[in-house]
Amino acid sequence: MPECGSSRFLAEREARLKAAVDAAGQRFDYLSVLGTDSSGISFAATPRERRVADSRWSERGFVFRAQKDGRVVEYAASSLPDGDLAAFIAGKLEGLLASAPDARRYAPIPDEPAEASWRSSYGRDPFAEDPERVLGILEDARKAVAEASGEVVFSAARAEFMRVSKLFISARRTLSQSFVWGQAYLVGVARRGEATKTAHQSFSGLKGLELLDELGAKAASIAAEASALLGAGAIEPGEYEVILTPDIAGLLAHEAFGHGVEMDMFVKGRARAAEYLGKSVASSIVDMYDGARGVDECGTYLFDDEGVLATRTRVIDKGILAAGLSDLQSALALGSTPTGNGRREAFDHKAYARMTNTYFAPGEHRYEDMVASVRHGWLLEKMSSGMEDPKSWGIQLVVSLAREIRDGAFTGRVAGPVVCSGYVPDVLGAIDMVSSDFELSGSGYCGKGHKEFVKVSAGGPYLKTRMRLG
Amino acid sequence: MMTTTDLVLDALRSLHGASAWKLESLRSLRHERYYVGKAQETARAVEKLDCEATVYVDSGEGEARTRGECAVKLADGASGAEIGAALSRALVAAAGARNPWFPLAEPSGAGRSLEASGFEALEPGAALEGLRSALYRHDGEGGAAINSLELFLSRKERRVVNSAGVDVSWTSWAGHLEFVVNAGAGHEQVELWTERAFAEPDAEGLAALVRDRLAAVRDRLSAMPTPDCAGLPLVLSGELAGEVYSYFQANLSAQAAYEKRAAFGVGDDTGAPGDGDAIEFTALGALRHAVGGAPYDQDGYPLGELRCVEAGRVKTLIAPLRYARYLGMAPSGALGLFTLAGGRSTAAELRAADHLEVVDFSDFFVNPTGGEFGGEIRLGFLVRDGRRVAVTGGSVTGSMVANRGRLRLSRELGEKARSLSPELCVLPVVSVAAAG
Repeated sequence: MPECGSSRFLAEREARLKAAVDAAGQRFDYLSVLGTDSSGISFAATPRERRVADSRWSERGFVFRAQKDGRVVEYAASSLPDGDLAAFIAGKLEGLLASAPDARRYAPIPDEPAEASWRSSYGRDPFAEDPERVLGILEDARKAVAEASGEVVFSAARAEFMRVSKLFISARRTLSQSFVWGQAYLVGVARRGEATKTAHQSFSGLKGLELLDELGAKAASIAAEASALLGAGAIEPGEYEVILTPDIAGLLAHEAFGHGVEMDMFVKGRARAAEYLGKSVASSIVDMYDGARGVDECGTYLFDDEGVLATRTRVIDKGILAAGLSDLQSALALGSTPTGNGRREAFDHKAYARMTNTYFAPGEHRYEDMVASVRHGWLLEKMSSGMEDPKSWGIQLVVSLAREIRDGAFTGRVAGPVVCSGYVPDVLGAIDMVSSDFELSGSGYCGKGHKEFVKVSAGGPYLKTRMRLG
Repeated sequence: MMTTTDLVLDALRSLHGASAWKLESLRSLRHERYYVGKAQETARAVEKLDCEATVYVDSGEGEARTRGECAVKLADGASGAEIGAALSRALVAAAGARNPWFPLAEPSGAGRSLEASGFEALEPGAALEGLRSALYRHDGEGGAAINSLELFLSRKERRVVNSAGVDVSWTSWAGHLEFVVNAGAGHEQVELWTERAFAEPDAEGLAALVRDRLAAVRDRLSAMPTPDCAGLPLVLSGELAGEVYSYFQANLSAQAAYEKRAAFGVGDDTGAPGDGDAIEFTALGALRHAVGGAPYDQDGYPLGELRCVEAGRVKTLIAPLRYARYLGMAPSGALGLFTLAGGRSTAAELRAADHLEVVDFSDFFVNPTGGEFGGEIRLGFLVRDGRRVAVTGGSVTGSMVANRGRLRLSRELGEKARSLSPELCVLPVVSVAAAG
């Protein structure tokens, strides 16, 4: 498989950046720069339109971070000026320090020596392919959705591929990475009378064009799902036995615990999880992880946006809350070790503690046995959205499709959308079956509140628990 | 020395093989401040140029004439070789798209200039300090406090140039803040999260926003689990009501109509057959308080106002040049803001009957295509038999289709992120799941 090419733009500027960091660094206690050069392409096919454009995730720029007397400031720019770069950067950062005389004083930023580089591999190069051919593949997939049901009034296929390149330099560290990720969506909209319903399937991975090979097989099921949703009713509000597909299990992992253990929330006193470290928060058959290392999906990287090497964190160990996810500044504030979770939406955004690939570990049960064990409940099948409440440990998951189960068998009744809510320890504590399956999905993005979007993945096995549905 | 924008324009003007082209540039200067409690956590500054060139390639003739396009991003400081390579790549991609033909914007003196923001006369650092001071004015009142605050202020210079002769530019300011308030202590502590975009240095308005949120989080502290609310209508106000109104905006889009996703088309009655308030919807390019205002859209087409729905009936659609051409209607440009007229009752009158008013969801959603809405309740008020009780937990679900023609709107209007619209609305057909 071919390796992702590294950034010539960053390589050509590495020596100048290194010299500037060394020279300007004399005026600070710590100075680093993260350079990004990421480009991507997106394709879309709808009934009467086909579009190609550069990806919205494309970016190129630099962010300089300085620490002086404990205070930390950052200056970001989309280009570097000619002339004395060290003097220019020092001037900008000193101006920011002057504007923040009373800012928080952090412990010194560690700068252990490190030199490392990583380039991902992928199947077929999406950037070298004829765009018309890619549009043709998408058009075929879209048409297959439309032709699978007379009730489908609109269908679309979209794909996006990114080549991400980053370079981190501090006085004692030089890190570089280049990798490719891809994602695609297949959508069908069905109408019956005044009712209009949407079904979709997403595809993702550290993959090139080979990702599109997966689309065609899902076309018929998307059309069938959209038609089924036209007859969907509302669930009678109440608490039910639920089986979560790997997609929804990932949403639960992400919203229930991922956000709640982002350790900038600990610094702000916003996370109830801080009080539960070392205590039981879930059933003893539950293990949960987050890490940019260990699995290959859209949240995978060698180092984070603060120059910390990626790790894999066991967040829940046999039901016990074991560890949180930390950016560098939060670790300094808490006296803990950063976990390589300091991530930025782009070079011009602040780094926060963020998730990467977040998942429940597989267990020993069979999916068929899980369904058979349900007296009256629902299979929660398609993710719509989720939101955390780390202070009160409430959770909201919205699923677009739920299938009723009675006495161990599907009844054929479907509902959607369904709002699933509950108190996180109750939901995790009620998990009594975990399947041996394992799937990750990395389409879409994760926000901090309603901004700071980064690529993540989430997933795991099928889980059986209890939740309030409405 | 030539700027990146100048270099790209030169390259576009000499590009062979393109039937037409467009350049959009955005230069942003952003100042950021972060606080935990009252203490500043850090400060950041950003200087950034975004530059996007779109290349169009035509083929065929007459009714069979097609136009393909490809938009490429040119990095600030890109070399001539990089720009040339990107435009060559765009030409190949555009040639393979072949969509029904549509025109570019033509030069016009019709564009309204944006009123200069009050921020234009202020030094950004001083402006941020003034806002910070106002935001903390009510901090601590009644035992509720600001947990954390993020404050951003951006000056944005936009320019759109195309091969048909359009060359327009304008400056705007975008403020954004995000804060968390909390009340109580230990396991009893609760919080509420808030974000707000603003285009003017309205210190008093922002101070009042924090005051109201501090009061709300105190209410959440004493809230009881949401009980059975069967049969009660749902009341929403402020930005939550604005999200409901955005359903109309999304379905008055010519693109949605062209793609056959829209819930209603020209001539449809948005209200039939119910007894709700008639919809009166006007799309706009700019509102003084709103961050998204612009005198031109992304095509460089001048934006004004467009009366889309009168007495509940759809008169026309929001139609950027491309979709206006596809549907054979007059273009309006991509109007991003709107006004919605008030209803026949005051907010007080609408609140007089028994109802559930939710003021804070975990994440309120309105599906613009299917019309489903809902969310988990973080804070609401149950008004029944003359008593008003704070509630939390449980969830609400409903459908704009089921509420079609039954939506009630307050007479009073309020500023929302994307509109000037009724301060409050009542959705009579909802399902409420009680808290566990």
